[in-house]
Amino acid sequence: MLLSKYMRREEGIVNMIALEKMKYIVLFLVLSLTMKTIAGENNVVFKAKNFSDCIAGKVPSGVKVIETRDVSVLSLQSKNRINVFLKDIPVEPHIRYKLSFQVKVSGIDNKSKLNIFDDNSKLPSWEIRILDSKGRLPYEGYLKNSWQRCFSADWHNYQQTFYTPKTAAKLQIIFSNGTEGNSILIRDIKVIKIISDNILINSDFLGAEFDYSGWSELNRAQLIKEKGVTKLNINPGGYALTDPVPIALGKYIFAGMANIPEMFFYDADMMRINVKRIRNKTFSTPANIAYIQFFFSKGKIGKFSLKQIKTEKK
Amino acid sequence: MKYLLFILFFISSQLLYSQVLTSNGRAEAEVILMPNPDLRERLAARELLFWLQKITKAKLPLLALPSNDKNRKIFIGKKWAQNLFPEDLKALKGTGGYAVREKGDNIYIFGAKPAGTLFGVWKFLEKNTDIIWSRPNTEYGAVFTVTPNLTLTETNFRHKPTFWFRSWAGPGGVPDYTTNLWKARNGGAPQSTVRLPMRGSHYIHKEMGGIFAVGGGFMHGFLGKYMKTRPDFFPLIDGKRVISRHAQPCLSNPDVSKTLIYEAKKMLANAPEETIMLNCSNEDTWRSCECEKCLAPITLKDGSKLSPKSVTSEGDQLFRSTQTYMFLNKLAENLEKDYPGLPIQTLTYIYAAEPPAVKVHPSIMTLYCPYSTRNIRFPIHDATSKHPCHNWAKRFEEWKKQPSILALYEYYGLRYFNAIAETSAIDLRELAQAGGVGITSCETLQDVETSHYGFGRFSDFWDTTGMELWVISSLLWDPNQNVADLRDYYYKRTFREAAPEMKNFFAVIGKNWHDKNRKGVETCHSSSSGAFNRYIVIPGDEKVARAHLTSALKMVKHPDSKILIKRILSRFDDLAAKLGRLMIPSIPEAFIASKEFASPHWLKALVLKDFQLPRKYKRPHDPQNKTELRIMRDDKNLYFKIYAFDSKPGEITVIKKADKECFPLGERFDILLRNGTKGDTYLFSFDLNGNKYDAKEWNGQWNSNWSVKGSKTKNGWQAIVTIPIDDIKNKKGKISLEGLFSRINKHESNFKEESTYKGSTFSGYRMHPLNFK
Repeated sequence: MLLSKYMRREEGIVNMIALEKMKYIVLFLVLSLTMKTIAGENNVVFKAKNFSDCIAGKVPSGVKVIETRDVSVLSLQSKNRINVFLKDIPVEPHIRYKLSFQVKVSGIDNKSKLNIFDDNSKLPSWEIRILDSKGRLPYEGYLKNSWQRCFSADWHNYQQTFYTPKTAAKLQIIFSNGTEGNSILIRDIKVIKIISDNILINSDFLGAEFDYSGWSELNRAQLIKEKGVTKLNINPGGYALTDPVPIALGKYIFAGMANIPEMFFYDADMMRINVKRIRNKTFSTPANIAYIQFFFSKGKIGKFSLKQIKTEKK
Repeated sequence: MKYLLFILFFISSQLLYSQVLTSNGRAEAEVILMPNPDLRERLAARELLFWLQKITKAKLPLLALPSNDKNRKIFIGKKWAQNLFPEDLKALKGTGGYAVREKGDNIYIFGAKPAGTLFGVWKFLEKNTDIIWSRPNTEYGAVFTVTPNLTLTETNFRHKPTFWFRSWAGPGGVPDYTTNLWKARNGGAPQSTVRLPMRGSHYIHKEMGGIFAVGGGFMHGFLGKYMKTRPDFFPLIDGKRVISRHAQPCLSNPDVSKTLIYEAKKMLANAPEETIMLNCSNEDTWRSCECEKCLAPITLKDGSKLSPKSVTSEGDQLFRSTQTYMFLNKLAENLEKDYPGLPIQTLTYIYAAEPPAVKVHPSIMTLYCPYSTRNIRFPIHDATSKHPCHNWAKRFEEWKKQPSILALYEYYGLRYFNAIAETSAIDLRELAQAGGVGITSCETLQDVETSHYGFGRFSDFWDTTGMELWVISSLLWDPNQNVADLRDYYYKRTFREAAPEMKNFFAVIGKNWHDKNRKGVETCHSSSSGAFNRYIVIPGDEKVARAHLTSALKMVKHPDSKILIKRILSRFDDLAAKLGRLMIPSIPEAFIASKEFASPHWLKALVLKDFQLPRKYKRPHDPQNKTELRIMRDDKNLYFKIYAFDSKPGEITVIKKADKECFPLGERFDILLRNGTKGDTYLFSFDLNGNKYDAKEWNGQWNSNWSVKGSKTKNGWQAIVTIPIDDIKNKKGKISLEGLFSRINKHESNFKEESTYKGSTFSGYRMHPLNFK
């Protein structure tokens, strides 16, 4: 639009080289604006600029904030387990957020050995608590899974995407150095709000390595890389369940994979209403629906999505 | 003194307050569930919240960690209890049992196994409210009183089940979510035999505390897939290999055994987590291999030979049973090393119910199945049998002596009024004493309003047998409980204000059901109306039983109890109607009416309109022309008025009026009467011209003093028939009539169509009882 106006106004004056340059400038401006929206710069709800201001309460012994001109790094160093609570972050109910950060662990590199089914409680870890307005921790608000572990001796990106429960008011992030005297460095902590048409979490498997966000139960199932593409592999006798995600009454389209999952429908109190196998890619949710969950039990699960079909008002 | 009273009051009010869970529909408590719990513990917490909200109208919060609020906290699951109640966990170890404990203001509900926590939550609800899950239906199946102020009364108890195998099975392909929940809520742990891949239904089955097995029948589970490649796996019958899954394999073929072991190991290696059994059973057929090797004498441990007395399994059950268990023993020996202690479940069924002449491996779990010749009215040890060689009591005794694991395979899914629970209690006590592990019972139908598999409307089953299943479910946890007490509990909670009358109603059934002098061999295949007839009508208790139900309906106030009683009454009436009895009214003016077609007294007669084509394959049921029959009586005669409609009355063909008795070969109507089920049969045939023919026991020489008056009408024809009752009485002068009514509609154009009341046929004599009002 801008470009065409410009062209009309300056027609005959501006030479073609200048026009080409202008095209790129405009394109850059548009792209950067779009990127900001996609990356969620406008949706950032928390970014740890200076850890000294982020730690909740008294700083535990063994915890240091290392400030340089460019970055602020949180250091946890102790023979014993230290838990560091960051200050509460206000959040809204039933909204999707993504927590991301970088961690470097000293004295350990279990990357190749990490198995989400093992007891990894000795490793450095993080957890998320989403409290209600009364400061209570609802069952759905406690995100503490065996895969929420830090394992790399190099700086490594970690992330977790989640929906807040219906009573969510504030978010707590907790880091722990584990129980084997590990020391860890943490930086670049960020929480952003995610807006996407696909109501499922991590069903494209495009997250960080070992990011099992969106999968609440895995039995004999794990992420694998096949020709550079991440998939969820379910071994015989096993199964995988997505997180129960909030869903409204309406018509939806399931897309992207040949393996047919089953759907569990729940009401607002997470009581199961119905179980259905997907037969058509489009389906309507039943009355009283509040959450949906997908059950897979076979083979390699590739990228898939669930989107609402919006009907236009006449 | 005043102070002392005040202190006492304060202490008691505090104690009472500490028991308060909700007040005025407001939560005074919270429920705590660890993050990432076992799926059964998660369901336990959700069930607790769901039912507490229904009962109290209060919504208790479900938290991951206890809050700082000064309230009562209910902790769900083993993790919270393991440091506090080690003795309980020790006592419950390896069982599906549960404990509920109170410590300070906190309540702990837990089991050593996750399913135990689930069963514990349901028992906690039952003990602290007046809820009962009387049947699966989600609208009215759970009966409870809305209690906004809920105070806890029982917060310290522990219970572990006598039997770990508490399985109820329903037919597949019918929605069963709510029915399975009912089974679980009442302590059941149904078995699911998983065929990979797992399905959502398997996951839910596990979530409800169910158990997993892999495998199946010899053919369906293991060898059927070799149909095309290995015909030698299949039985040789009458000189030909029968390539079918509905047959027993050639057990003497060494490759059959090897392949089955290979398949079993493969299944177990890929079995879902917590699979506790391998199922490996003979197929549901007597068809066994007749090849030379399969019929070779079996050398027993003492060196003696067991030779077949017949080529068929029907002809020598001992031989075939011995052969089968020797085959299974080999499988057990092969799996012993890799899967020590894993039960190999097999159906001790048809010929395999015969105790074999060999010891059965201790890993083999024999599901003793006295199908289907045992009279289910009586316990196994004194059950009579339809089949002379099926001595179920003797067989049971012999199975008890085997080193194998013993369980029962029952058919408690009876679709008629019965009192099976007392019988079951005796069997279960005997089983427990013998170290048995429990039962599976099949054909427990889903509580849905639809009909399937020729069983009729599935929900009807719960109207007649719901209480029996509830009582047996409880007995599976402790078979030594008093059945009468369990029934009383059920009456009180399910039928509330109407409990005394409902007790009276079921007492009628129990009295007749358990009466050894009363004839009747019942199995899962007995007809519902037949059983109704045998245990309610024939003993002369129909009126009194129905009166208890109608009285119960007047007494009941609880809306859900009312629905439940209404349903039972409706089922009662349905079964009574299914007996096909026709109530013939006594009309003093009947004789006058018999002279006049238009007499208004005919309006008071019994009206039968449902004339249909006799039930024959692929024929529509509605006849081309309708028929209406009216019946009434007085002390002397039976009176019938027939109105035979015809769209083409001019085409009706009928013989001329004869001077003497002759069989009306054209258009006619037949009345067939029988005095008692085994009494004499009387035929009365007539047409519109007044031609008539009668016979007793098909003897046309016999004559009754009956009359016929017929006439043509605008749209058909009509007739009035009068039959003297004395003519059809039996030798003792009694009358107990059954009838069958048939119209033969005949036209000149070769059109001929027979229609009978309700489509009943002469062949088989399915006659309608005619009762005198």
